[in-house]
Amino acid sequence: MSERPDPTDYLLGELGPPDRARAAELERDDPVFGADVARLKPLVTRLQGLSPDAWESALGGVAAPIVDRSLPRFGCEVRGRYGNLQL
Amino acid sequence: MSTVWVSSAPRLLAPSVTLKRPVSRRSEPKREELRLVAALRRRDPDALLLLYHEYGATTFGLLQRLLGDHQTAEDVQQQVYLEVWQRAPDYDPRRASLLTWIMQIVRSRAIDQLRRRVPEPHDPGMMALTDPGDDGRAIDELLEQWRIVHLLRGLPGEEADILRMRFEQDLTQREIAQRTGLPLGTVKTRMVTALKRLREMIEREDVAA
Repeated sequence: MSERPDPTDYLLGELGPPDRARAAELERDDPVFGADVARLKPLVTRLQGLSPDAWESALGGVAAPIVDRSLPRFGCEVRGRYGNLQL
Repeated sequence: MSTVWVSSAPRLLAPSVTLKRPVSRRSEPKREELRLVAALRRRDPDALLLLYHEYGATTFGLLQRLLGDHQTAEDVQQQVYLEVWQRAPDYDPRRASLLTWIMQIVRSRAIDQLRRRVPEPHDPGMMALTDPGDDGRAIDELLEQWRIVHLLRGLPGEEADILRMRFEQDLTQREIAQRTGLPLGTVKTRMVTALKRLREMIEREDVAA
């Protein structure tokens, strides 16, 4: 068991039982450790709540839009996997 | 696709407004965002192109999720950016971040679309909201998710990948290290850095909102 568990490992649920118990103690009794955990916890909760399609939307390799100059009479069309914008 | 022609917007060619980096990847978000807003207010169509480049994927992903089919999402996406263009002179960056403002427009147009929708078959691969509900709570929950989605795009790729493996694929850091061949210490460092960076981005957004 390490002397001071890592708050990230703790929040990710990746500590063994002794370290987890020590981290829970620190969260309660050590203001610095407690503040670290409090800062990270809402973000970890938000990330755990993201749906698979949200992850896909975020990091699924969306192509950059293309400026299509073949529409001179009407302006331009911005095209991408996520839709066309015609101006 | 039903096309909305924006007659007042000139042609978009090579952008005359250039940003040093995409808006969500900046170290000084406020300044970059203000430059973009200033260009929009000058009615510079290049600014709209940049805005679309920056936010288009996020808003389209959200609209697909909300509306459930690609075609409708394209149509509403069009309405959203038309409205952004038309309302840009009234946008006040002191009241809301650009992301928050655009997401609110997405929300309004999506609710309009959902309210006038006649139930019809849609792409089974997509899950749409069938009813915006009285208070739009389900929509707001998705908006919040997609705000995070947008900010995730601003992370360096290797950090975003680590978060995805951990939180979407539910791999432990040790499993991520095995899968990627990275030392466990590197995975942990990236995890901590990614969470810190993302938290700071969210705090900036929350403050701005």
